[in-house]
Amino acid sequence: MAPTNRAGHLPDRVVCPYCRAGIDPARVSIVVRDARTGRVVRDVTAKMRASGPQGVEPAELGHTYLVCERAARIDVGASAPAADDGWENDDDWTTREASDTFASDTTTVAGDATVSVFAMPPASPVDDDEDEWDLDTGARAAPNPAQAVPAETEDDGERLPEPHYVPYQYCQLPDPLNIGLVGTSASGKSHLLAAMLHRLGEETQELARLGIHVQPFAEMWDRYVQREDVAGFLSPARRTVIERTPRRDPVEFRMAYVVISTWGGVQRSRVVSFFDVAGELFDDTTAQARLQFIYGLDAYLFVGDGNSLYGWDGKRHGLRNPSGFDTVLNKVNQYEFQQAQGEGRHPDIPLPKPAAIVMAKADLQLSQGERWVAKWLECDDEFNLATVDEESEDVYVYCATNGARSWLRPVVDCEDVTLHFASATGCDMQTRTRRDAKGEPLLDLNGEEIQEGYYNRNQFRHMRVLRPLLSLLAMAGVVDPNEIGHAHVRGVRRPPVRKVSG
Amino acid sequence: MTEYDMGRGTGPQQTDGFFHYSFQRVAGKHVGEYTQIHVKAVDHRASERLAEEARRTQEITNELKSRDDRAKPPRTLARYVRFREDTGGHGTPVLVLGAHGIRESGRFLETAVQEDEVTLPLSAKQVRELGINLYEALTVLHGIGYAHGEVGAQNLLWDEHNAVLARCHAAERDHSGTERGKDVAEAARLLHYVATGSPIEAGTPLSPQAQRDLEACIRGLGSVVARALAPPRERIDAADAYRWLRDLAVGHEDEPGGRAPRAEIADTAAERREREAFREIRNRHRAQRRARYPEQVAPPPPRVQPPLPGGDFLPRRSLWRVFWNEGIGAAAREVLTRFMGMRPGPRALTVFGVAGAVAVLVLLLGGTL
Repeated sequence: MAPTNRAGHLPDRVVCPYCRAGIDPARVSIVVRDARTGRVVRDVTAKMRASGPQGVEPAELGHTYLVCERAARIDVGASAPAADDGWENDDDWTTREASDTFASDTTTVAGDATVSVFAMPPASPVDDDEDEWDLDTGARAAPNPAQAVPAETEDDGERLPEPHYVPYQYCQLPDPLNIGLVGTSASGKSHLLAAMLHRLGEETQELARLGIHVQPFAEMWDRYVQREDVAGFLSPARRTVIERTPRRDPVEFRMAYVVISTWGGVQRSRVVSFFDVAGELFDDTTAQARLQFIYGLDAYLFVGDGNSLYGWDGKRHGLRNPSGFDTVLNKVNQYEFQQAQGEGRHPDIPLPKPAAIVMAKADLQLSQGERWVAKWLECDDEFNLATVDEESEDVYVYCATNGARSWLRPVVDCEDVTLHFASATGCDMQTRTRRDAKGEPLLDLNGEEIQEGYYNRNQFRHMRVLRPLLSLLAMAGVVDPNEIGHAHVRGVRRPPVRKVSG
Repeated sequence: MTEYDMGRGTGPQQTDGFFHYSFQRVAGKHVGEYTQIHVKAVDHRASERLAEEARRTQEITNELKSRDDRAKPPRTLARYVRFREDTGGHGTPVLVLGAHGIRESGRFLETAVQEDEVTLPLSAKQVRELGINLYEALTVLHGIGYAHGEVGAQNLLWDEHNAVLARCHAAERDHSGTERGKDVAEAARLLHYVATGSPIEAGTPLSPQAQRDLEACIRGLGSVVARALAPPRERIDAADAYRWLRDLAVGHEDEPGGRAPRAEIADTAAERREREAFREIRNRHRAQRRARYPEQVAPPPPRVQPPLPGGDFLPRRSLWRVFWNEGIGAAAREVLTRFMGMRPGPRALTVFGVAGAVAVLVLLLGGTL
């Protein structure tokens, strides 16, 4: 579907992927941010409303963002659970007092969405009735650029920064597919994602055979591959380890693509985005505001650390660490239940979202002589998705009989699940002393040599990293679900059968 | 009759320092053609060992015969034919073994390797055949309660296509099954040896790298060998190894990935139970999805009305039809167009019509007058 030509050339309603609040495109501010620092450079709201994407320079379009702030939200607290109810991040006591005064006043704008008056900015002096709303369209007048950029709250690593910024390109297409990587710390999510995205760019021919064309958000991709650790990981000459995702890393897409699918004779475009946050956030109750995005994910990529299946003696004794899957599934199930209760319907059980479970670092199991892993990991059938169900069975059997049953909870909780063995590196990590250009060892502040992790360049290989993603895309209807032999996928229509006369 | 020397001729010679070997192709009365291996001891100590070997081989052969006298001798296990003892120092004891599975060009593998007649590693196809033959022989031997006791390249006859297990000097009845398990592990080590060219130490499990090397040779071989080298409780038996090796397929280099489909290894009871559980969950979810998202058929694309053929393609109407449908004016226009090549306009047609009417009137009036 082509981008719409509504006000601001955006759909009539955009959902913030970070806080799950609905954003009214008629009221939202649009800004250009500096590519390097992320700071807001200028406000282009008026220009974008007048001319759409032509309102900014082509080179700036990739750095254009919608500002998800309280004034632009139309249903704060309605679509998101209580963690972000609009008050937790508010440090302005004056506003809070004002809201107490009008605690019972609400007004309806933009269709049925209910907007709290607490969120309204001060009335404009030129507004006749001083209610800030246009009587004809229900839209708010373009804000003053000087006021458009609100003061940012400090990122303390626990709360979602306020305001936050949504890429303009993300909002152009309706029905995005947000994929979240779920797993504990050091389970291999970032490595898996980096390998996956790298292969996604390499295998255009095979992807075309599956009926999809992927097109990354160019500036986002540049930023991603220019990160020093990612560049080192992907460089055949270095193959260094990707650094652990910091807890205070901004909750933003790690990467997003426009995926144009052409199977079935119809061309459709969707945004596919990837969330990769620090694993410890899944287990930390004080940082739940940063995990708002999990409620809006459309598909889950659960990543289990294959190395945690083994003890130090190399013998199996189940999982050493909790999987972290329970935390997410409990919250999402509870949210679904509450939503259903609020809407007077029965909750959807299992969750109406697809999931793929990946046993990452499976090369370590291969080196332990696990026949289930050997059976699949060295197969050269990454794009033959017809065997996905067979592989899923084997992974399930392997996990269930080797003490990793907690990895299998998504199989029961999600409506469509595939399971995979994968390895982003094909070998185990080694360490060495980091050296400068002259070959001298680098020292830290304590005078100790800095160690860095790396992989053996000769053994390094990405093993079946794309298969989970392709399965997930098939279960979400981006790739033809018939490729994995699944039917009854949400939003997928079977092409009409042509009657052949004679 | 055959390309082989059928009678007294002596085939190729081989020696390992203790025994001399010669190979002959002969035709038996009831058992068809087979290769005889003449094992001759070189000294007194070897003679005693040979006599012991003859006794054990005969015992095994008789045991096999006693099971089914009419059955053909096993192709992959050497059988006892005869033994000529040392008669007072005037002759050398000779043990004659019969091997149905190999041709006259057969050799003992270890000696052939040392003399550079065979180069390791063997090809994937040869490794597969050798493994199948070896485990088939062990299956037969273990089936009658015996363990070979010394499975190795020094006791394996090989003709570049097939293998025969021979030399049962260490064979004995095995009631506990321990020795039979050792046979399976020794055979696995031998397979690794011929597939990679490097031996692995006895009593150690297969290393990951070794398993990968075997998988690179034949997909699935690494798994089979690993299970054959597993601790005794988890070790597979010869029959399982034989069956799985038969299921292995040798890939071609030009195939995608250069590998062949992997042999399926049967599930344990627990694995089977879990597999069933997974299938049940999957079917349940499929039914739920069917209820949630009933299969919707996309609306067919709007049908485009085909353009009507132009006037040139329509059959020309008759003048009568034109007159009947559209009246005298159209008929007159059609007459002018068709027969006189004129395309009259409305005015000319009116003039022509009036003139015609006047003419008809004049004729009618003239006739009347």
